[in-house]
Amino acid sequence: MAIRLDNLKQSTTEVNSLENGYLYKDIDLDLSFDRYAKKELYSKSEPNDLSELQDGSAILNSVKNILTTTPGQKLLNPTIGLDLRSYLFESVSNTISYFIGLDIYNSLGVQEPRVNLNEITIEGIPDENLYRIAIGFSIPNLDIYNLSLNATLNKEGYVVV
Amino acid sequence: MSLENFTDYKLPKNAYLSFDATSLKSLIIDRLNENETFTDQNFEGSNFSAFIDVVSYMYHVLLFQLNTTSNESTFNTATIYDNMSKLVSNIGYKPQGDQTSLLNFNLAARNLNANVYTVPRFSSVDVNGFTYSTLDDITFQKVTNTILETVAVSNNNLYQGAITEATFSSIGEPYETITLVDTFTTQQVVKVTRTVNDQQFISDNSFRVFVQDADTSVWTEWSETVSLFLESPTATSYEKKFNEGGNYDFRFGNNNNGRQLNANDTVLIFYITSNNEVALASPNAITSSTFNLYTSPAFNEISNYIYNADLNLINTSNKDTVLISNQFQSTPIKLAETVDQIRDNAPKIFSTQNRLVSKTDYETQINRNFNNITKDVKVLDNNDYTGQYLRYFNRIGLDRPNDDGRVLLGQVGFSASTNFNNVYVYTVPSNQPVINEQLPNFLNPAQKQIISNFCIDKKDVTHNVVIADPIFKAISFGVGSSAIQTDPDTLDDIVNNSFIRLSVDQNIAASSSSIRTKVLNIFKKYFDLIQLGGVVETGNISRDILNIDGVINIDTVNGDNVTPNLSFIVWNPDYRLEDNLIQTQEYNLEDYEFAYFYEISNITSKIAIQRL
Repeated sequence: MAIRLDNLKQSTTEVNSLENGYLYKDIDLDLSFDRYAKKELYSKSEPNDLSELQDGSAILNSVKNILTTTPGQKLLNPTIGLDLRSYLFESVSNTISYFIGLDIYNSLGVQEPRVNLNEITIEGIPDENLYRIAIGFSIPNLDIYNLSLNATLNKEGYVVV
Repeated sequence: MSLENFTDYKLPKNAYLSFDATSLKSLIIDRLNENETFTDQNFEGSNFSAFIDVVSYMYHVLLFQLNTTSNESTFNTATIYDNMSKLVSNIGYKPQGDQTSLLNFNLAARNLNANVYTVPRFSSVDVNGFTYSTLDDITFQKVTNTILETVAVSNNNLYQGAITEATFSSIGEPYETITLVDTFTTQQVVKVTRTVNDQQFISDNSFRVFVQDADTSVWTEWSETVSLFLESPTATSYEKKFNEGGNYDFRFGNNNNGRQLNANDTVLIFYITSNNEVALASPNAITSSTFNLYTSPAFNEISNYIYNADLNLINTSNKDTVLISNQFQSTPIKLAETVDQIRDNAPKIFSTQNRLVSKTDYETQINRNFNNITKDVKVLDNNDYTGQYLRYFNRIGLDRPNDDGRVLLGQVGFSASTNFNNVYVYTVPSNQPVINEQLPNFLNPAQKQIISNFCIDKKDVTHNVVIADPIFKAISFGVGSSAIQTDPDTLDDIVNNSFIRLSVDQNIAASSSSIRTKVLNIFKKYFDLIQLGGVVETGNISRDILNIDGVINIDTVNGDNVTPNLSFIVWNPDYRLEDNLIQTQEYNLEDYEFAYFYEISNITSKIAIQRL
């Protein structure tokens, strides 16, 4: 008797998306037109659909959104986001660096399930009142590994370098 | 919310009402998943998810506004004053604004010859630095020459506040409306308590309107009407409305329904500007004061038209001959109707159709229009009057009801022919219904006359309206025998010597004084709310006392006589021997009876507490 491994089966959305050449697709804010929806013979050759983010760029954007969002900011899901700004009121130290890393490690993977975190490096620079944050992660569904997101956390907030 | 039936756009007509922000978000995500163009709507960190949140939340807010708007458009659910005011205007209901305090005065005159005199309207008197004014002329008769004597007056109502004039020039259009803006009050109609800014306000029911014809320059006084549509083409009437902005609209006719203003007519409105609660007057606040006569260029001119030359007007040269004093305190300020009060009153007033036919009509109209002077109103028809009220006097031993002074006063004052077959209105004054917690108080003749005048053009032509005084029943703790009818001292003994004994759990830390205060508050609260024809619910009072923490038993005691629970003695203070009884059960008052607790503040000294 054959064994059906449903847990390995791709969802309908994923199957259809892959047929269209992408797995994940998000809209690109600021909602500008820069895409040809369906190229047809004699159709006007000007953009007529929303610009979009696909696959890796969509996930990377999602990760950035989570890191720059404070819990409570998102209207209908107040738990989304990391409260990294709260660390700015503490003196720059190794202890705080540890807690920032722990916060990212505990929350980012839960809030963005498409990524696997590999490494988080936090470097506190007291003289400049900032932290350099490097997050290494993978996107297994897209076979993308060893991505790195480098950013600084200072009075300007979380700024991707 | 189940979305199973919401496929494509085949939504039920009312589906939009079922959505809130989260359910709409779910629907959008489901539909995007079906469409399969985008995928990241399923991930909370995505741009799309943020965008959907914003759209859903906007929809949620807009739907809330829609629901609110829908609610505010119906009478039963409106909560905003502006909306309620507009809704009830459809049935001709005019909400009442703030009303100033009223003060009754006594008048004495000296150094005048025997004759009839008139104090001009708008005259005022100073009471502790605040002005009290009269809106109507005061006519009195001096019976003897020169010597000081108390005189009976046609009107003894003073309104707290100064007379203020507002002048308008008319355009001359049909149904012209003039708005008198209350600049003192900040949105008085939407709040419960006053703010500091509202030290003053324009008092409702204090308006006197005069119009000077642009062609003839003649001044005439115009009168307020309930509806211009009831008026003849030549009637000099106007409608007044307390509008949704807290100001007063005066609407004039169109020569079909009430007379129309001509172009450039001068409209002069006199009104009272009240100083609010700070100006309330205590008993005997004025003793032998004199009037300040009102003068202004406009009023001096108007006086030429409203006063005959042969009238003996009190003027600046002899105003010191008229002395004013007050026996009672002024009435409290009456706040503008709230939304809930309007919701309660409007249907009742509408059902009367501005006519006084049934008992309910009388009670509704008088309660609503005179709640600044009356605490409660009950009406008796002829059957009730003869079968209950007159029978009461017969039962207590009077040969004729007219032997009672107050019955006679009512008949003489308001009943043109017989002492029966009239409509009998029983009222209790809102201001101090009991004097010094001992003696009954009644509406004074001027207040009764105001109510009587109000009824004249609304009542049936075949009967008179008698504003009568209710029978007061004094109540106190009482245990004793039933032999009171023969010994006048027995009642005093029972009242003075009876007390209640509370058994209190000794393990409860409450002090005796706090328990006594709580009992006092229970009685005060109960008797504050009691009304004509009410019930003295002995059981409920006992229950409230037993609910005080630690109180486990009540006895009423007089010497060796002990009665379990509460026992009262109830008596008519005017007929102490003829009408009294010991009451341990509920005591039902007739519609013409009002109960009060005798020396209620003294209750704390009539409570003994034993710790068990």
